[in-house]
Amino acid sequence: MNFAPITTAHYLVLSAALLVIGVVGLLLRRNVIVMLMSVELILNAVNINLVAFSRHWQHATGQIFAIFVICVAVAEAAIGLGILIALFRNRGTVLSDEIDLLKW
Amino acid sequence: MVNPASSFWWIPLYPLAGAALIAVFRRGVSFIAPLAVALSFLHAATLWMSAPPGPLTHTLSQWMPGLPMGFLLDKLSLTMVLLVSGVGLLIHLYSLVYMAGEEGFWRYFACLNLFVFFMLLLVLADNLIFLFAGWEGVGLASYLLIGFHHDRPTVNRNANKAFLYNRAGDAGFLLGTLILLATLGTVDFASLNAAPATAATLAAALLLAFAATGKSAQLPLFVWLPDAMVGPTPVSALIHAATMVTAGIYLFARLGPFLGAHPEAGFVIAVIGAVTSLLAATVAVVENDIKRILAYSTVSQLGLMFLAAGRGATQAAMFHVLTHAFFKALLFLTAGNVIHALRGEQDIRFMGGLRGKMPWTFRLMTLAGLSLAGFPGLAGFFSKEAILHAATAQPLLLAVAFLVSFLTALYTSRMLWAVFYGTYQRDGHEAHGLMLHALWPLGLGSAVAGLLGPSQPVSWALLLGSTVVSLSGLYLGRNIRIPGLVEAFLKRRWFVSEAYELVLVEGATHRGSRLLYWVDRNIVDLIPRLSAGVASVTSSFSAMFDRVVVDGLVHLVALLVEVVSFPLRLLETGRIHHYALFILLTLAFSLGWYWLA
Repeated sequence: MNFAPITTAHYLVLSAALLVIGVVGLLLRRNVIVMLMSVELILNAVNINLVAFSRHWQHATGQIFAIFVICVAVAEAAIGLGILIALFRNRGTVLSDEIDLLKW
Repeated sequence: MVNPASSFWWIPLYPLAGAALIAVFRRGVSFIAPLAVALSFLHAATLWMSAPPGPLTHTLSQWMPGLPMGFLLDKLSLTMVLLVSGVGLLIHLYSLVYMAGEEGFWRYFACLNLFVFFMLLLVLADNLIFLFAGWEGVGLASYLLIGFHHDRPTVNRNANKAFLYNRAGDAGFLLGTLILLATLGTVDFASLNAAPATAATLAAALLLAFAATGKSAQLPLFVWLPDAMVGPTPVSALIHAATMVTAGIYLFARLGPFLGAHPEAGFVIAVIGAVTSLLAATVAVVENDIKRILAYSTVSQLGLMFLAAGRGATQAAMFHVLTHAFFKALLFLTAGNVIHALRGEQDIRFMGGLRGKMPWTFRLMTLAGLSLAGFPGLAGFFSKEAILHAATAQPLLLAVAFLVSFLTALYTSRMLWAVFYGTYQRDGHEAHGLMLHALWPLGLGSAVAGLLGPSQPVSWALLLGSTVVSLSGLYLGRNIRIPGLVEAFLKRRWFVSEAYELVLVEGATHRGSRLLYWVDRNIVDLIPRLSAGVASVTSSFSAMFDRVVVDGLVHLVALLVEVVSFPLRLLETGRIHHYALFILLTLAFSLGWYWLA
């Protein structure tokens, strides 16, 4: 098997695809769990982007930044799921269009 | 050596110093009290002997502008000074034995000296305001001494009663004095006695007469005196028989020409005296407490003095004050001997047959009683004749005076028989020492003080009449029987106290308070209501300004914010998807703008 070498452009396309999937999922799905998963996709698209450029420029900053993003994503997931459980216990639903008190 | 005449104003100061010394050193110095009074007496007696040419005056200092602390010594006040200090001295000596062993021995003598000081001040003052200082002071000392046994029941109540009744009279005194001060501008006796009569001075004279009814225990204010008998017996003798209660008559005598210019006031005084005298004499006939008999007798005799003073015969009234001081003090002190011997028994129904056990007390008390009853030849006979003489022009007053004389002889005789004759009931013993020896001068006075009276034409009809009345009263008093209904009525003392209870306590306190409540609600409340109305109207203007202008501005700002914010508010749906979409669109728009521009 002869494969074309994987270039930075490939990574960027993958990253862009993931980002679009994440954003569309975030906007279209009602289930908050799926929305959180979409957010993870967005973050990981960013990570791939960062790591790709890190390799491209032979510079470690992008990788370090990616690790920070992973840390933040972990914290975000933990807090988000905690809020979600509390929400479910109180409202009996995880559908975001039924939770619309966040106004005025 | 100080000239006794120019230093006559020292006379009241000796007892004052005595009272102060005793009050400071308390125990063991009570012997100062009789010494101080003796000094006053000797000083006055020296002046009497040397017969000063005319009235002496001394102005100590200017109390207030136009109101000097002035002393005046003339024949009238010298007589009173001698009486007060003389009888006071004897009673001080008597008290040394009578009060021996009492709790508060020194307090008793301090108060007694204080009383003598104020009484001397009263009789030596040369104007009404200064006299009023003594007038108030004797009231205070009287209150303190009535309440001497303050740990016994009813004593404090009776002391308060005496004080309050006196205060009622004092209010009249003050009002009268202020009227005189406002209309005449002066209150010294010489000016008052020369002042022309007007409606204002008549009102003042009536108010002063009212004041005298308080101090001298006449209607309408006499009810305190019988209750004041809860004080120690020597106090009853000195204050409530011989001296303080005669202050009203002294006032009339001092203001003789002033009262003479107001016959209406004199008429009122004479009628008050006659009615009180008759009323008190009838009560004395049925009383059983020996001290209360003497107290009602005092009220009755003071009524006779009022009668004479009201008729303008102030000399006769003062003459009776003098003789009455002797025999009534003697009666009280001998009654004190009897009470002392019977260990506090005061009810004459439980006395009797004491003639043999207490021979000298018996003789002295009989002498004093006969003098009181107007037995021919004794002091009371002459002074009563003078009073009858003063009443001759008014047949009704004369009849009352004769009736009172008869009743006086009746109750005196009844008391003497009950105490000294009849069956012997309790163990008694003769008084000894000063309790007996201090009485001799009083006995002498009761017998011969009639010689001191003013010279006046003798009316043989009056002398005969009063002799008959006196002897028949004395005779009938031995076995007097009073119908039960009358006795029951008199025992309630003509319901005077009950009437006061009804009128003053019930009427004044309850009805009066209801009236005051009405006044408060309907008249006094008008003032706050009026001011509330004014405040309400003015505040409604400022409230309108507040609502329209100030609130209007605030509401305008709020309305502006609301109008502007209305479309923006529509964006806030509460749905997270919308927010996310806004973020995305904003991002896309921003980036697109950035790239295109």
